[in-house]
Amino acid sequence: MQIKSYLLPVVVVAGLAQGCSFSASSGSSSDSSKSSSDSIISILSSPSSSSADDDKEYQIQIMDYTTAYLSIAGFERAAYAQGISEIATEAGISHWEDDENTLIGIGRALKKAKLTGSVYETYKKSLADAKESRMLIIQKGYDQQ
Amino acid sequence: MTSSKINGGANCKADFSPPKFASLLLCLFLNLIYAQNLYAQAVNYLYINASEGTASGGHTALRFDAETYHFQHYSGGIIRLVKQASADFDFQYRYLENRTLYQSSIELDPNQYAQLRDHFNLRFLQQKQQNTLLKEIQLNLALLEPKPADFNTLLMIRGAGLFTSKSNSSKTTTFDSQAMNAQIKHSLDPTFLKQKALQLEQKLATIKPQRWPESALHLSKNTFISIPYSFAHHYIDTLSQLWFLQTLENNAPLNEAHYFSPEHKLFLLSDAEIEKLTQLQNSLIADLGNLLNSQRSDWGNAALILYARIISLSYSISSGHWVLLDTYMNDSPSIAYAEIENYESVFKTQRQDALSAMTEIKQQLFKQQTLTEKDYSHFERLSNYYYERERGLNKQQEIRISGEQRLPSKSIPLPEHLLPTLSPQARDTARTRLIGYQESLTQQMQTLYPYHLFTHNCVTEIFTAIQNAQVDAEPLTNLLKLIKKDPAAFIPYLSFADIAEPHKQQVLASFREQQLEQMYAQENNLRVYLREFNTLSAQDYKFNQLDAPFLFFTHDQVWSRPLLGSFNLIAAASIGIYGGFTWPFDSGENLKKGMVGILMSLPELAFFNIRKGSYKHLAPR
Repeated sequence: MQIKSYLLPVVVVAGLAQGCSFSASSGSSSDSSKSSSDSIISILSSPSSSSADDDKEYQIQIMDYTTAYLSIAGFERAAYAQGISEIATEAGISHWEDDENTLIGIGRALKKAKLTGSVYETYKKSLADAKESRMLIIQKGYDQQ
Repeated sequence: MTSSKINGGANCKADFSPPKFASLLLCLFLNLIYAQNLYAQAVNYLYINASEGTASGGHTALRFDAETYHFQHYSGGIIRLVKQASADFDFQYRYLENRTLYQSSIELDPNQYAQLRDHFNLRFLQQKQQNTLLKEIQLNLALLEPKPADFNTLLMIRGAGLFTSKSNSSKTTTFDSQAMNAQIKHSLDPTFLKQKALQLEQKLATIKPQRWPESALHLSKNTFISIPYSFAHHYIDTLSQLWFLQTLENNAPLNEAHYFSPEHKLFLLSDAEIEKLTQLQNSLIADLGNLLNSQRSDWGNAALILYARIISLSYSISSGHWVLLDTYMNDSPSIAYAEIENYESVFKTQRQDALSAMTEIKQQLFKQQTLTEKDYSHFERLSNYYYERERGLNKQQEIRISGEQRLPSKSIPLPEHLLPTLSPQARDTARTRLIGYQESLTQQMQTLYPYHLFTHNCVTEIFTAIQNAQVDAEPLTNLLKLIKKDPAAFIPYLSFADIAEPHKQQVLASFREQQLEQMYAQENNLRVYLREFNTLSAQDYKFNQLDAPFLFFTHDQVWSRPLLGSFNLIAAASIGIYGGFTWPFDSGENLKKGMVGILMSLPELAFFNIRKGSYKHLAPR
């Protein structure tokens, strides 16, 4: 794909006219962490795409967000939960604290962040509100990653 | 996922004769080495060609399978990374904006691919978090000194709009929530609601603005910051919790404007389906009980939404016909019926597509052992999309064209009598502090992410990010070398031209290109040409306010481009002259369109095309 030299000035002028996409709103929809399978366009074009793929994408979103949060020196639970609520709401889950895919995503993040031993156990307990059933699923996610 | 075999593995044929055993072992050994690199994954560099409107000089993006990352220019002179579902990105650029996408595939091994994708995703999350911090300041300033507009944008109780205090509505006589309300209350301790409300009222009185931690106020490019749980968030969360308790206590009925039951037979429920919905309802009731004792700060909003869903399920179960909640956002964009009439066939196709998709999804839904809330939400969202078109077309009324969500979130403005009571001094101190935070963070954002036409644009930022990812991959090193060699590589088209040659390329045709190809294949070529080369008789194109008026499409006309361009120029100039007379009456709208039209037509005289003609509404395929 070579450009003709005589067209170069026109291309440059056009390129400089207004390069790149502009968004007038700072809160554009592009700010969302929506999974790709959540798009109406995707759903209409392949309605039979499996629920398992959808779950996997959701887990990845939870894992990515949690991993990023784990990089903060002081882990603040309330602030972290706000972000998880946002992702879960977009996925159609209102009570995410006992949701299996959310807990698996959290477990995968703890592994991805390379937490081990007592540090891992402390985070696991804290994120599960010390509930045994939740800790078991977080462990499942940790082992899966 | 785009996968292709790398020609690197050893080709071996098994031969068990003793003298060749050593070579077989060698082959096995080599295959083991290459096994991990057997499949490459392609990261795609996209060039989106020029068109009228935003990004008229073209745009670029980086695509990782179903995710597309691109840098967008925001007001305030900032450029930020955004992430979009690839299907949505294509629909926006290839279909609605009718642009051609050129894709160059860079093959990486799975580890390198994952490392690069994680780097882009982390940068996206970091920048999104920083933007959320600025929004948090806006929310707090609004709560301290509310302006009328703030009550429709910031100061709201999410989920509260799903209910109404009025109990004498027509629909509620058919649908009764009394039994379900009693069942939920019965599952709680008799004094629970009163005690919890008392605790929350006491807590509300103690919530005061606080100084934010220093760590949240210093931004950097590579740090993910923690958003402080601010005064405003804490206050509105607590109010939402109280609102829910009151809704439950008073058995407030669902707001009849926010639920619907489509007439189509697809929404009829069999006994077996009703049983599955009853199981889901029981599971949601248990979730609601857990939420009431949750440590989550936003449990009030979640409980309002969950309770509304439980009630709507009761309606479905009792009537044998699906009753669904309206999941459109409060501020969803809509179009008037006059416009719908123009695009009637498009909306009818969208409605039919949704119905076909729902038929398939419904079958899958009830095949499952148990129905999850997530799957139910998926169906409910698509039902909203369908019903919006069904209702608009049948009742000849407006249609909300986007904004359907998986969970309903109907909000109400925060009642003014519930605004916090603070002393004037405390209010002023908090306000001054927040304005200071806002100024400092805005300045930091402008320093960290400045937009510049030559040095910090959608092209340069992608390659800087690739470099910063520090992925040890030869294809990426070569890519960066090619870009560095060209001083004009900041122009989207040239950046693509620079890197395209050594990589696999693909052209993703625009909507019009696809339509034309189909028409030429099915109809008489001359007839198609004569009909489609101009905007007056072109089959799918309709004038819309996004395009400056023009007569001829020149994207697919190379030799006749200057001639057709000159007619476009005359048409645009005529609109401009007309606009000169009408500007006192139309605020200069026609004059502006004429000027833009001239600007878009001029390059056509020199064989160069920018304008493609956009489509306002389409049925995605």
